[in-house]
Amino acid sequence: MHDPLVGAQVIGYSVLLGARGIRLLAIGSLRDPVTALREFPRVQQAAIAAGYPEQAMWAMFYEMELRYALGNTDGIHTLAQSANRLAENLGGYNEIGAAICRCDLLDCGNDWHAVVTVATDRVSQVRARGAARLFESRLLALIGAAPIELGNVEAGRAAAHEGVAFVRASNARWSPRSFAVLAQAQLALTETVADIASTLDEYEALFTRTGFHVYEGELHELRARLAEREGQQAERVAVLNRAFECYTRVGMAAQAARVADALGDTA
Amino acid sequence: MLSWRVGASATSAAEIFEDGCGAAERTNNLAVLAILNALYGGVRALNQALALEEVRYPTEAVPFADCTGDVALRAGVRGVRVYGP
Repeated sequence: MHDPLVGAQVIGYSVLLGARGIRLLAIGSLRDPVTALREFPRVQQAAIAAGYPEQAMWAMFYEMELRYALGNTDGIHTLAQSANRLAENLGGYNEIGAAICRCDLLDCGNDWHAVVTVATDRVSQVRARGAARLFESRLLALIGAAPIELGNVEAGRAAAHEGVAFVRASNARWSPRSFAVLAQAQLALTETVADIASTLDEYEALFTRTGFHVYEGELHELRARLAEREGQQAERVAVLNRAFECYTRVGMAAQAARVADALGDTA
Repeated sequence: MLSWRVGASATSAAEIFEDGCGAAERTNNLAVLAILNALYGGVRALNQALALEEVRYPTEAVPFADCTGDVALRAGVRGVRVYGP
């Protein structure tokens, strides 16, 4: 049925489509990103064809989430545009999900100022409404990472710390990147080994629970940076090897090559 | 679903849920109780960042759905739990 007030088809919610989208995000994050990325367009098309534009948009959000985690930028312009176009008609909190897709796109294009502007605006929106707050951890990770790239590490640390606190309080483990951003800031600010290791240990504990291995390589690279800073060369090589193994296992070739280069420099 | 589209606050979602459950209980409509509980868990999780609610409420919906004998509803309320943390 077409609802003139919302300007979109209103049918409801398909549990099956929702489960198909989440299943692909889980498969992609756990073990087989190639299959997940291949299948996402089918779920999106099925949702559109069956009259569930909202669920098509969220399947695009999941695909973007996975591509962003993988560092896979294939087709992300089209993906972000499609998600935003759908969200324009659907309105409400769908626009927040679409905005996160836009932030991921901007982040991939190194447009850090725009990332902070868009993400900060959306965090303000969800806090003002007292709703859709589950997206905060994702937005805070973006708000934290961008200033670090721009050289304002303290600001990045503050946002990432907030993001970590949010993950702890909400038990929402599906978007854990604030831990990595916080560790990056702590490394840049030369904080103590104990503090940085504590952040990374907590980050690793999340993977033990979720099994989302796409984030694991970055964790080991961060441990390698800490080991290098402390002059622990054997430890550095060991964790770089683990990073290489993680990236290779989930097909993150560019990241695996980067680690191989670092290992080559060591040799 | 509509409250999600128009950006309803957490408070208004709670009021809608309470009103809906009250009406369903008065008319002994177990299917509606199952649907309300299954969906409200997601609303609480998303709106208030209470991720565990995404499992708690749909789990409470299961016995209601089972009593109706509606296979699609029984599968549906169980499926909602995939969003849990």
